[in-house]
Amino acid sequence: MIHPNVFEAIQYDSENISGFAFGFGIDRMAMLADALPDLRQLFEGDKEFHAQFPVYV
Amino acid sequence: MLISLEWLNEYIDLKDLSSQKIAETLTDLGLEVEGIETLAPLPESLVVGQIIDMHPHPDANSLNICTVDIGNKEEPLTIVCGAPNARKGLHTPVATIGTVLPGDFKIKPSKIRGQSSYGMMCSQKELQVSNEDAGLWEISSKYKPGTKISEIIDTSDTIFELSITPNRADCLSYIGIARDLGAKLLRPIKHPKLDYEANDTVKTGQKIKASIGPKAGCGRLTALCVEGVKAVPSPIWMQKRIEKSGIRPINLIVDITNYVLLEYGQPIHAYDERFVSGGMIEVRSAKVQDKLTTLDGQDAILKDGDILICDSEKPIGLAGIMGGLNSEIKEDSSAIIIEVAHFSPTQIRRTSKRLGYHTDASHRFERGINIDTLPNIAKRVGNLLFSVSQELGLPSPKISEDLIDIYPEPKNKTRIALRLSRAKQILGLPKLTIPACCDHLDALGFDLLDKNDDRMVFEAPFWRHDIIREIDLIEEIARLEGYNNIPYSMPVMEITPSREMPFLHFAENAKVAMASLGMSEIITFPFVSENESKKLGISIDHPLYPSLKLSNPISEEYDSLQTTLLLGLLNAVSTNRKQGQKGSRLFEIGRGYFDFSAKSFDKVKYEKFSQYTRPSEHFSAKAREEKNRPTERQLIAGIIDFPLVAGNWLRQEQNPDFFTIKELIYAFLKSIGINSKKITLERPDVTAFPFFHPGASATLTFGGDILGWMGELHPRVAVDFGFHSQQIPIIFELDLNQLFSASMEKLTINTQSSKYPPVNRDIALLVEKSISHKDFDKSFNSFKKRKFMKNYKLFDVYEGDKIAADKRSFAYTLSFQSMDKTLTDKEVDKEMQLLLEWLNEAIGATQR
Repeated sequence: MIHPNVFEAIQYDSENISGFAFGFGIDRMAMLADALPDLRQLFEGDKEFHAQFPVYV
Repeated sequence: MLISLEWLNEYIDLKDLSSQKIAETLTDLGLEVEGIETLAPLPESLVVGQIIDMHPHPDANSLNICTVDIGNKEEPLTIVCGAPNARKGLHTPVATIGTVLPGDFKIKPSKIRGQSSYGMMCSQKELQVSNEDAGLWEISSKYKPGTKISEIIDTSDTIFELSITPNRADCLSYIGIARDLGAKLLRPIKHPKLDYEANDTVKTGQKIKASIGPKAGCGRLTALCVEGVKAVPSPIWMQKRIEKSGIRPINLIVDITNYVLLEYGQPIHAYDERFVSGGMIEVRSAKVQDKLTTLDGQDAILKDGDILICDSEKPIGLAGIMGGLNSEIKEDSSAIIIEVAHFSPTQIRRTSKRLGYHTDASHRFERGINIDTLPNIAKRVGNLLFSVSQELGLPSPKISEDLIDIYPEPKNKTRIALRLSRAKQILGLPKLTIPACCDHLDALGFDLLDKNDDRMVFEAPFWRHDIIREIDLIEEIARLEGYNNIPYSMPVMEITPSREMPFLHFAENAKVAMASLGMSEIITFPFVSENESKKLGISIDHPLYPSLKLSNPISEEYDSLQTTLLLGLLNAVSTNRKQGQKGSRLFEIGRGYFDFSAKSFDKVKYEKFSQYTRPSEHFSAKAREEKNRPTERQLIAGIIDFPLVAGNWLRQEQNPDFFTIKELIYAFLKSIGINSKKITLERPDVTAFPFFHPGASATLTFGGDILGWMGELHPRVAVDFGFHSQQIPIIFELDLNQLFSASMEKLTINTQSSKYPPVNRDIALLVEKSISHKDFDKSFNSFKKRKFMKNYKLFDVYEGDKIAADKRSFAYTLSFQSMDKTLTDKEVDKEMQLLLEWLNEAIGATQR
């Protein structure tokens, strides 16, 4: 839930407005999808690692 | 915060719960468990032994041969031992044959200098019970030989590693964690004992004077005097407990202050009374001339506002951070002063950050401690000093009954109203009731002052600095009701299709096209270092020299935003090479970041970079209007490493060259819908492109727009990036925004094709050496009398002894075709003649 302070900072009425905030890193999803043990692998540019992925995923 | 389950059980009974269940409960409460470590008990085969006979080893001065009784069922063992404290009658742990000691050390029968030994007597350190390794562990004679050591000391435990958010300073303590668990699991919590036998001869109020100076940043100061304590090692259970929570045991006095720190989350300091001049403890603001060496031997450089603890002459402690070396507890300390205080969180943060100290004390003071309970903390220290001294058989310390407590402006609790209707609405818990809210908050230490049908008024406990307004109470209710117990339903909402994002589609197509051409996509970080940029051969006035610096970089070296993707790609290939992987084909789509307001560049010399000065397409109108904003360009770049083709029995290893990259780029442009006939290649200017091989590279333009560049890396640059000078990779970089615009141009398709056969003629033409194929291109295209010539193809270039030294020969295949008839030789001859005349006129070409 968004803290009422956030709404008040932008002059919204925090009594009448409430909201959710959420986020999820897409690299985390890639990690789950391909069972990667370490997120950093995605950013190291290892040829053998990258060459395994098909053009269309 | 490291929490030992064995210790936590002192405050809340969790013995019936699995560590998994406890971890889940903690995480549900918002006290995230980051790790669980299980500690094993000591092996069963480790028993108490008594040395019943001992004589010197015949062949070694320092060794003894001991006969050790290990209980009535077993024969006494012969053990060779070198410990200085081995003596007849001693009770000590014996690891019998087959025992595996910590560190995977298995006890086997052995011969030591010719004498058989059937086991090992151990020190505390060898059993990892403490760091004591001066000699054998001397066990009380009340334990009979044969008693299992695991019955004397239980080392089995579970350690939870908790990540406590900064708002929950109260949970940097065992009692804080127990309180939250108690509220969630509906279990009572047991508070530590505070009582001790006071001694009339010691009176804190008479022995010392304490005061808080003006604007000292100290909210409350409590002190307690104790005499006749001994700074001996503390009992093993206490050493183990504080060690498991990450604090090194030192001696009884210091260990007790740390023990209570972990119990309550309140830092405590003990001073040796001998070194506190004038019996005075004053908290005051530091002056520049003040000097203090802290316990770690560092000279603190003080500033106005730092909080100091001083005696009548000098500073003796850096308040809330670290004590002074001059008043440290020593082995012979006997009379001590216990100081428990509250210090200003902001000031402690300021000082500790400036001086680079981060201590268990500063960590807690920065986040806020419980100002209300300071006298109880001092009493708890008294209780432990008294009870542990008794346990160790030491003379009872003389502890003052009275304590000094200076609390100039007592704090009031925060009063907050809570509406049931609001809690229901925020949490989506329609069945929430007033009694449930009251029970939850009561368990967490909140006092209910008033309530009616919808409204409750609570006072927050002193330890909860994070509870300020209604929403904070609602969060507490959510934590105890359980976030997982909030019913869920999909919100009903209208789904509107997302806005078309043509550029994103285009970029996606570009990726697929590149990947289909055998390239692998990589993602690198956009941070570059100036030193690596210099390796490209570019100087500070070059548009590709990084122009945007990060104010808070992750790494000190990589402190700038990239202007080109080539650095990331070169590093990736270089890393692959180091791992023995050759022949990488990598590409990346990313951004280049430029700030040309800070650094303008020579528009003529670097005209091929002018597209980077175009303003970025900002979503916000305000940003669009603002001049001199840094610009961002979407780039696509790639690299093809040596070898292009691996060698085998049919063919040799092959180097990638300019034509490799040209072919790739043209195929790529075709796949993303760009008319390659409109592309012009130009030889890049050496000063603008110092990273390219001057004879094997080109810039690409489309109409008048610069698309990018491609070619072989300059051998010098290649070597600087760690490549062999004969195994040079080829690279390209294109501006994706420019490609996108170029792809918008409609292709014109020629629908007419001739039904009649073409006639081909080969021709060799001699020209001055300054003339290139590009000049022929122009001339062929500006041949006004052209009627049937359809196309031309260069098939040979010759320079050498057969022609004049200043000449070059170009050989073309020309093809002629008509739309409505088969051409005769005569017609072709005629046009050839006209073409030769034209070429002679335009570029001085003669037939060879």
